[in-house]
Amino acid sequence: MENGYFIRPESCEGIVEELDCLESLLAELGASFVRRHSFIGTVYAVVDEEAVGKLEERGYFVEPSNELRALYRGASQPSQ
Amino acid sequence: MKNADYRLELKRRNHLRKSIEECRPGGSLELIVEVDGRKKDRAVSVIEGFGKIRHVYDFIDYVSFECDFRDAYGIANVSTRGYSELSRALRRVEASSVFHAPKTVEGCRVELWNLSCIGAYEARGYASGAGIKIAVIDTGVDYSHPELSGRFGRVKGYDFIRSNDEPVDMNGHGTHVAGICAGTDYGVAPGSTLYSLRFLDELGSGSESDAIASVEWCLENGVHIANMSFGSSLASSAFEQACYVAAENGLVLVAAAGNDGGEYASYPAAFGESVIAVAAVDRYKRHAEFSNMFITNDVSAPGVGIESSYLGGSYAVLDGTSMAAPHVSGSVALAIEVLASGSVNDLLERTCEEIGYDREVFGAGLVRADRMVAEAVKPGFYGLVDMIKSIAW
Repeated sequence: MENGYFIRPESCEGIVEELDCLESLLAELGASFVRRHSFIGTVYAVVDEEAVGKLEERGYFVEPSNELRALYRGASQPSQ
Repeated sequence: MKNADYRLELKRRNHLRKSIEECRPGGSLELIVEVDGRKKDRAVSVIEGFGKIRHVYDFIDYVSFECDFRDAYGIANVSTRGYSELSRALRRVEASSVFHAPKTVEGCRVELWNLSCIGAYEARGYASGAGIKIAVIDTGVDYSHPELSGRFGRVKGYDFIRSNDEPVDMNGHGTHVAGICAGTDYGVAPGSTLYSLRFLDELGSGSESDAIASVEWCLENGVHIANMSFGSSLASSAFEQACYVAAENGLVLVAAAGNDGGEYASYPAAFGESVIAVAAVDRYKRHAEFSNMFITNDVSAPGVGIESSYLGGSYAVLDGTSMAAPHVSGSVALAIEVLASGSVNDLLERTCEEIGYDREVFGAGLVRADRMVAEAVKPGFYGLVDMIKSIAW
């Protein structure tokens, strides 16, 4: 099953070449979506669990992306 | 018919008669008619012969339509010759009323308790947030809303869900939040410039990756304040790192403390120093029972029964720490506009009104836009007030 993960090189955070290399690897692993967050040296990708294992084996730090929700309560009372 | 019902019916008839009389010849009028629910389709087709249908309501047996002055007169007196078919289709004819937001005699809207409570009206005498950019990272914003249309420039922001630059709200939450930040009458900083960064969907949920991309957009576009009225009990170190880097680069991040009501962490509010975490209080400055109590809470702001802009040009009342956070974003915008030197985060906490001793519940206290602006213009002003108070004590 595919999920979204944040992936970054353990050693050299934010080095452009490292991220290029990571993106190539993600393409090889069949990632269905890839987005680079350059300012924190991290790549977000949607991959399966097998790919996560391979990324971790190669020394990448991998953590799951979470769902965020709007923080309001109660019914609205439109008053026009 | 009971007396009360009779009086109401009489009022409706008078309203209809008056509306028709006030309608200029050649002008049009919107009518609401009650129809037989079992013959609704037939009634609609008859009405179409007299005017333009506006709404056929599913949940009630009413239809609204627009017609010209002459037909409105005839329909109101359905026994008049030529309207016999219509008279069989209709049960009751009423004029559609026009609703307005309340106004005072000076032409301004009535004072809103939440803005009074934080001293926003006084603060707006000295600053409006002019030149300050606030990004509402949320469900999008209805930027055609009369409260908000003047706040947006050519660039509206970005929609990270649909990957386009039309971040329109389809939930209502973001429009409400934006109205509190900078609405013309309902907002704290009506002179500021707004950007809508849409990453929460119609149901109010979204991914961390899109939230991070929104923060990145703020850095790339010189945004001063990012309002984040959303959260989760879990967060990645990537999002924490994003907030840290953004704060280090001068972006003021304001987040809602969470609505779980207990001693729970909600992220990004609980990320610590990089994010200003805002708890909610009610109109009596009491802790809102739903507002999270956590060590990272920085300040409190009104979050119960808050009226602001909503979808389709309307207004709505909502509760939540989502509503508290934009009071702080707006106050920070006012202060930054006039801040001579120093950190706005320090200024925010130093000028809070003490409303309780429990830091995990209230943070440093209630945000006070008036004190922030006064202190930003003249550093030491509120320190002096405190000193005089302590001597008097």
